[in-house]
Amino acid sequence: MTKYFKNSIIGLSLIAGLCGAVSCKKILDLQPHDSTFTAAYFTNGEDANTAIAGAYALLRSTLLNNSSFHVFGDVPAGEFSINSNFDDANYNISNGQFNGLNVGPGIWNWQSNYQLIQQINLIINKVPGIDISKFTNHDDKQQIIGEAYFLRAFIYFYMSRVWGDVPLKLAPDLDLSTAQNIPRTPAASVLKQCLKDLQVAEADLKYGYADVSQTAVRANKGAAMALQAHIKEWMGDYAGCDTATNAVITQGGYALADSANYSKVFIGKSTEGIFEINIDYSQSEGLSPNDGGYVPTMAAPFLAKKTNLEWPLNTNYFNTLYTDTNDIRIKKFFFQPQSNAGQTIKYSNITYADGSTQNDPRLSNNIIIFRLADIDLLRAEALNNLGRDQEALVLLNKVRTRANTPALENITGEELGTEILQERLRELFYEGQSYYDMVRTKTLGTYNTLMKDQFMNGSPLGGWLWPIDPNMFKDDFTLTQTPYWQGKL
Amino acid sequence: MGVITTLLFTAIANGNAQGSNGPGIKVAISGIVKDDTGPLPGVSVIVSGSTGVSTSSNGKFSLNVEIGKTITFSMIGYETQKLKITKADANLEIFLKTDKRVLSDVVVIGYQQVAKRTVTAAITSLDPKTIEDVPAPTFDALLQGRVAGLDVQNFSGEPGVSSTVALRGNTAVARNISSDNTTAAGKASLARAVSGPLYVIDGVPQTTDDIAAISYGSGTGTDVLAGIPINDIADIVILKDASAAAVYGSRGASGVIEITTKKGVAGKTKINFSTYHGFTEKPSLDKVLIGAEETRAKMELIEHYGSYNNLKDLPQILTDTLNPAFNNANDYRKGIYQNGLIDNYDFAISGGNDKITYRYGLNYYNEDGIVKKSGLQRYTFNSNIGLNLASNFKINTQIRYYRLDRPRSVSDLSGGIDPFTGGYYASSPLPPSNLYLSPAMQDFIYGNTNINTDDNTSNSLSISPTIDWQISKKWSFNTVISYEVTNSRHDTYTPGIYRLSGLGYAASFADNQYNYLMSNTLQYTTSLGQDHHINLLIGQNMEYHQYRATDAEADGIPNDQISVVDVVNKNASTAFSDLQENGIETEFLRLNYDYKGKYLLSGVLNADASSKFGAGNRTGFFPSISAGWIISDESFLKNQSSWLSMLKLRGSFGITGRQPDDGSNYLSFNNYSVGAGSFPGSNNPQTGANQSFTYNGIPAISPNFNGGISNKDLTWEHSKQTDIGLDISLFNDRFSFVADAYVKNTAQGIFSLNVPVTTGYTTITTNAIGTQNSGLEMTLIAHYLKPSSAFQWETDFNIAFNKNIVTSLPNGGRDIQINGGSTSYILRQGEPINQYFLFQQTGIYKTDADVPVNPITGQPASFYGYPFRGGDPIWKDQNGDGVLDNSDYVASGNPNPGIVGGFNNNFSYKNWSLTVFCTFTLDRTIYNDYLVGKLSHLTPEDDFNGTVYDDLMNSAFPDLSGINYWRNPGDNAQYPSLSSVTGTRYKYAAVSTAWLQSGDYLRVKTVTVGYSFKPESIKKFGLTRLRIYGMVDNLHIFQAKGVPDAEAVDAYGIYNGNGYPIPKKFTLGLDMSL
Repeated sequence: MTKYFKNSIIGLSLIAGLCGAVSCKKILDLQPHDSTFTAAYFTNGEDANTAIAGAYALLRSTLLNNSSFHVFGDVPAGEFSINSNFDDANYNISNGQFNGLNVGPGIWNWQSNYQLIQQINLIINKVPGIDISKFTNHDDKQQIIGEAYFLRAFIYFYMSRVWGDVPLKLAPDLDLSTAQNIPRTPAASVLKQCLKDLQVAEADLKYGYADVSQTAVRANKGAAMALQAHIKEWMGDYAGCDTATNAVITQGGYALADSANYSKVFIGKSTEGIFEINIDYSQSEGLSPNDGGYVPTMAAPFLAKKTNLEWPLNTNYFNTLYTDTNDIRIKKFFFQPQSNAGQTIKYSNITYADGSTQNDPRLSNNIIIFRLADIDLLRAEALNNLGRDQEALVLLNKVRTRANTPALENITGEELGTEILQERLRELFYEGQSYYDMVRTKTLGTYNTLMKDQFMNGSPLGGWLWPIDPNMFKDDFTLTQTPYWQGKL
Repeated sequence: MGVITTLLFTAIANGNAQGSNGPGIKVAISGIVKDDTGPLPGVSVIVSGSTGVSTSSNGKFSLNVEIGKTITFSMIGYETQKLKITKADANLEIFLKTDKRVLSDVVVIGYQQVAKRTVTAAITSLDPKTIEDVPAPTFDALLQGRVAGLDVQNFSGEPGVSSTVALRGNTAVARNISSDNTTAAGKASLARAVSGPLYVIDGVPQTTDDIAAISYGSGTGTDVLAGIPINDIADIVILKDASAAAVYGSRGASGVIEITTKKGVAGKTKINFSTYHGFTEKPSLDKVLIGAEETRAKMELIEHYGSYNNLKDLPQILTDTLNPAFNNANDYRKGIYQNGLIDNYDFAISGGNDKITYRYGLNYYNEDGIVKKSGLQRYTFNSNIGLNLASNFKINTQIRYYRLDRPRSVSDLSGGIDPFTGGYYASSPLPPSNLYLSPAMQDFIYGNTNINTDDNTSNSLSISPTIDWQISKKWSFNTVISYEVTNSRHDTYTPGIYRLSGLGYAASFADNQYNYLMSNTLQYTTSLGQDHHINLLIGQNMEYHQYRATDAEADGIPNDQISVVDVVNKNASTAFSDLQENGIETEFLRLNYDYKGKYLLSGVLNADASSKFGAGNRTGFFPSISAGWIISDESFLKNQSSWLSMLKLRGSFGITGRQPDDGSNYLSFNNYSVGAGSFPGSNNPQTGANQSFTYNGIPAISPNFNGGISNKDLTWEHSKQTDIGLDISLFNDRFSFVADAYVKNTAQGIFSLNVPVTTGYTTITTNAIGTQNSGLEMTLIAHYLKPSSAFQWETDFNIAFNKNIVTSLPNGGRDIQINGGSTSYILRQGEPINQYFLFQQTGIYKTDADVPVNPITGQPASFYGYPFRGGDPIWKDQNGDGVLDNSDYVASGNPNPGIVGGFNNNFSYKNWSLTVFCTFTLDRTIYNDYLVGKLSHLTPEDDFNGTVYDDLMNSAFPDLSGINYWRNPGDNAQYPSLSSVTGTRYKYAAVSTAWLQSGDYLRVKTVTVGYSFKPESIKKFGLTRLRIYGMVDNLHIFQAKGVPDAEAVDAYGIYNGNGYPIPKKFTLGLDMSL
């Protein structure tokens, strides 16, 4: 070997060795490029904004999952005579044959609810730490934090109405080491926490919208006050409900849509909308009944080429409530209500993605959660309970007049209470409220005679509450079944 | 790294010694060097203590040498000869003998060559000659039955797909199982079903994870090992125990398969050419009734079981037989299957001299699939150039290129329109034969169309220089650098005429994989006195893998002339790309010591760091130790050497590891899903792809709830393995016997753990499972007759027993039930992985009166609300609560093979040879999803499908002869009734032991007859070797009745017929050397 050659080898080996040593660190410290992660995320306003959008998206997914928003809020009220041939599981609920097991497990597993809670807790944990200078005009730090607190209050209230006691989790899991099983927290404490969160939300949020495109589909102070009103009514705090509803009505800037534009309320972002979940084909957020989406109350002609009507209207229920044939809601909400295939067409804003072929319908109706008519009637209910019947009657008639039904006069007390409830059931048909209204007013048996006693309010064990998925007990020793259902499944 | 550099300097300083010339008289020496075929060019002719020359192209040399010096004639592959010069000589004739030792007595075990005799680990080396003529493109498939303890199951006959390979039992445990190879989840699940070994090709560990299949369920699905022609392989060594695999510690837990490819050999230029041609036989499939026969059979069932009231439900397709839409007789399978051709050409040229050696290999392989339009084509180029820059310094450069084309059948394209995934060899039935098929549809389904349907291509280029530097007698240094780039493309087009929408669908998937590796080793070999031999190896290895993928898909293409992605409807089009990276850093130390060559000791210490783990848990330590005792070298046995060639006792203990192989590279990060705006109903019904990524127009981001929570404690899986082995060889190696017993305990096994619901997350990858594999392996090789006999009979037999159990489970060891498609499994401590978990079926109710009454309700027993009747299956109510549900399931069979092996018998007489090779798998329970699928479609499968005859009407009708199903009250039947109107609708539910059967089989894998011409007789044609042969592959299978092919069973024990039948192949071949 020549000297030159030897030197080259030494040099090469050295270079190779050095490269190796340098790359040691580099090839082991690899970060994902196919997604972001906590340390890289939550660094600026855009991150906070996409995170809160993620939270709303999770809420949307939760409410639509197995149509649970309506399965919880409407089906047990008896609004539908579900066709067992097309929807066996929910038929069992509408027909009073629910035994705790014969529904789809997706309904009563609260995994998706806790996904939303993890997301909200992450926002509450991380966004306050982002420096205000990292926010632009589009992303309002204070608003985003307020929305997160609002959503946490909303989801816990929602869950508590369904299951009663639920595990209360207020901090995010950033690593497996903190992921512990936690027991169910009493409903009273859960609701208390909701009100506490709402205090923060109300302080951070404002009435109205700086960005009108966010109307109703993002929470503002009006939504927070409406939620507060619902929680207080649910807890029997009528005075509190009165204050909150008064704030919504007087300061929120909402107005009932006129009769002519009534259907637009259910498309969304109307003057009446307080809190809604966005579903809009024009934003690529349309709902396709042909792949995963469920539109059980409609068939042709509202959904071209759909022949099965899974959830026909319960004609008895209809006849009990809609006694006034001048009521514009009959035409706006229903199609052939007296047939055994009555359709509910409140949400029927359909676009066909394939045009005139009409094989691919997409629905663009927001999920309406709170709206002014709801708050008006809620306030009427509170006032009636507080003995302020005259004020209650004004609110009731405001809703009745819009529906082209005559104003009521000279009724008070329990009679007025019944009228208010029935107005709610009429106005808020298929808006995920009726069952809770009946439970709250202890009238479930009056309107749904098929319901077995487990759904009756006042049962000492809370039979109106839903059982939880037994699969969740598999690896969790701290979790207990809802009291009424213990030993039943 | 620093240590190595320092050592290097020291080593270089030591390596400078040079010899000097002594005085003497010079004489002229010239002559010729030959081997048994003629003159040998390129032989080094070196005068001791000086430089030398090499022989010319006709083998001649000449030089001047001092008297008294020694000339050394050396060449790789030949025994070195020395000649002391006493006088001048102009006509020296030197014969070099082929060095057999080089070929057979040395094996490569992790970075170094070791003499077989002194190996203390459990290894098996396989001569690739035994597999090279078998018509299959992938060598892993060919290892089946060849090596004790290596369980290879070629569950698909599709050319070029991966086989499952498990060494000493499976340790891969998953919480979710799917056997449906038409879905993304199924492909991923099957790709990870078995803990496969690490493949090391020429010192370069390979990533065989099919990332595309795992991450997206798409990609080419081609076995990356299909790129290596068997003819290019020089040696295959299987490292089985911890001590052998430990140098690849982190990834050695499931064994290591080391492949060494052929290198250039100095000497005469050698040209080898071999080729074979043959055909694959169309499988004989179960009979299906067609046309009027089908209609009559269906009507017969309806009329037999039905009553007058049921007649109103009669489907039109059965009654309106004059309607041209319904009076057809399509024989789908006849259209789909074909006989295929196989062609293989290998061409290699090698040679060289003392300065340079080379080998070039070319291969072309073409196999038509037995399903039209499927198949495999391979083109490879393999070159190896060795440069001897100095007598002690060599650079060897390997350049390999391959291209694989593996078009697939309609099956994958149709997104698993089940009937066409492999014909009615499938649990999902064909449609009825009566339906009208337009000519365009026929052409597409039968693969007769010219429209480009499926291009599936992989290209790979690897460049790997290695540097060997013998620094001094005691020190040597080696570097391997490897760079490999693999590109795959998968382009498909589904024409509009075939689709409901009438519009075409195009998809294009491309990925790039870069693998970069560098390893450096330094060896020190010395002796202390005469008897103590020490060898020390210290080294470092670094690997970096990068994977990129791009996918674009467009639906709604209005003209079938276009067959590329062309976005016409943006809402029906999707695109994504991906980037994945991972790296490994390894440092290792190995010490080999022996005393007098008969007491052997070896130890390895290996530290591996992987980027897949969090900063604190990256490094795993994998030590091992092994010892051996060559008893036959003891003085008390020396005099027995006439019959006892060798007796060796070995033992080893060590720890090896495994890292997550499911394509997850970032488990220590709590990662997020970007564009997480999906909800039930947000999918595009045409493509099934989510279309909503925003909320109110703002991109939605939320945690990835499926495994996205970080686990900073995640670390290597550890397997502790103990092995005791015995090697015996008798009568001058004519008989040899190897036995190994082992216990492998895997702790901290990688498993997905369910996390608390209140976290929002579902599962996390964690170290949470323990498994144990224990077993016994035996290999016997016998040459029954003396080498001098003209007739020769050689047997090579191996068998392995393996017992596999789950030793620990998370969450206090509770059972874990796994729903795997149609059937279900259980993980239970103390029992095998993935046992079936099913209703115990004890028979069929003969009459309605035989049905027991539920003690609580007083009603007949029922299932999902349908009361049992005569003709329904009897499922045992294990807990006696009157309700049949999954609490009545029982663990009922083990899908893991207990015994696998193979035997090869080779007979030869003069120029003729006959080889018969069989493989077997015993002690395995398999699940006949095919039978249950075929029968269940004749009865309603769900409640809400219009008329009860829907399933009967929409499915093809199998031949029921030989199937003892219940027809009349009192029948003692094996299978339930085929009534659509009475009894429980779920009488053919898949969760029943009725569908289990023995999976034992013995397959006559290959039978070969060959004739080798005598060298003298072909010399005049310029040939040195000529052999012709004929072979039958997959000649026959001996198995229990039931499934059509007990080998075509996936790793979960499922035979569903969705796979590709394993065809019989007939080939004729020719092998010649110049």
